[in-house]
Amino acid sequence: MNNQLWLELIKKGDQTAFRELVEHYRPLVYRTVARFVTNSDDCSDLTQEVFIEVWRSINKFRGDSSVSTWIYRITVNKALNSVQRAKRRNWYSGLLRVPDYREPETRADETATGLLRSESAQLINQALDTLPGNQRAAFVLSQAEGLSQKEVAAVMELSEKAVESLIHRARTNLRKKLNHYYSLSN
Amino acid sequence: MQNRKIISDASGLPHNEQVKQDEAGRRLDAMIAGWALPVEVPDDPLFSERVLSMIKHHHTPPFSRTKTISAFAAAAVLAVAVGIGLGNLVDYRKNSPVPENELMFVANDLGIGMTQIDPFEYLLSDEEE
Repeated sequence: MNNQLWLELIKKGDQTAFRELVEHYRPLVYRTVARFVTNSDDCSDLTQEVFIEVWRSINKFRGDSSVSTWIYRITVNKALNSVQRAKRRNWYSGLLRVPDYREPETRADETATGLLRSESAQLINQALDTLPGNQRAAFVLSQAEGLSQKEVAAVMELSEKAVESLIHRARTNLRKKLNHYYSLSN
Repeated sequence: MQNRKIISDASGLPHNEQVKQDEAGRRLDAMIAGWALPVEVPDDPLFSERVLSMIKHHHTPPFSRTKTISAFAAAAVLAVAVGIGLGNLVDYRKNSPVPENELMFVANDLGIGMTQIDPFEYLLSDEEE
């Protein structure tokens, strides 16, 4: 179905059209959130939150960008907020000396994506966890989702130059953080 | 003294250092490539139904005529009640005999007429004592 027609129907409250949109974009949203939260339950919950937000803000969408760009934007914002919440939760649980329920060993077993099964993917994810949100978002969208710098710029509402700089800084930081891994494997 | 020749390239780094950095870059690229492999999206045929039911459960319409009218009516009633209360309070303060009586006692103490009294002066002189 044509994107514009889809949106018009959803704006009128057509649930069938919304269901089709959800099914069409669910893989895109799930894939993206899986780069931020690696637990499969969290991925599903976050994917749901994204589509609830899509429904709520559909009337604000003016069609200046493509539907996928708009959905990517909502996804990245939701994912970054979720990462922030998780960090705060871990900080409080550290204060209260409550053991973190997500130990790295169990995280790998819990995931349904299979992504964390490889050691390098785990290392990259751990390093990405320490990057600033905008660097992480630009890196994920370009390297994992394969978006061009122009597309990433549209999603993040930044200039292409700024996106280029974010990706470069993300790579440099990853390199620094994984430096010990290189020396161990030498 | 024999000068040792250090081979360097356009980056200005010694050759060995450059080789190390290139190797590190290649390893990072390989790691990123492994990480960037497509994520498996699990089948979830009831996903859209779940989203819709959550929307119905949590969604509140952005504009409801009945609710808006009720809110304005409640605000108007509250404003009238507050106005009446404030009016009564002002009347009470105006009609209260207490301040005038107080001034009369002061005037009697000082032996002067009511028109000549300066309450602030009286209070100050009282404090000094």
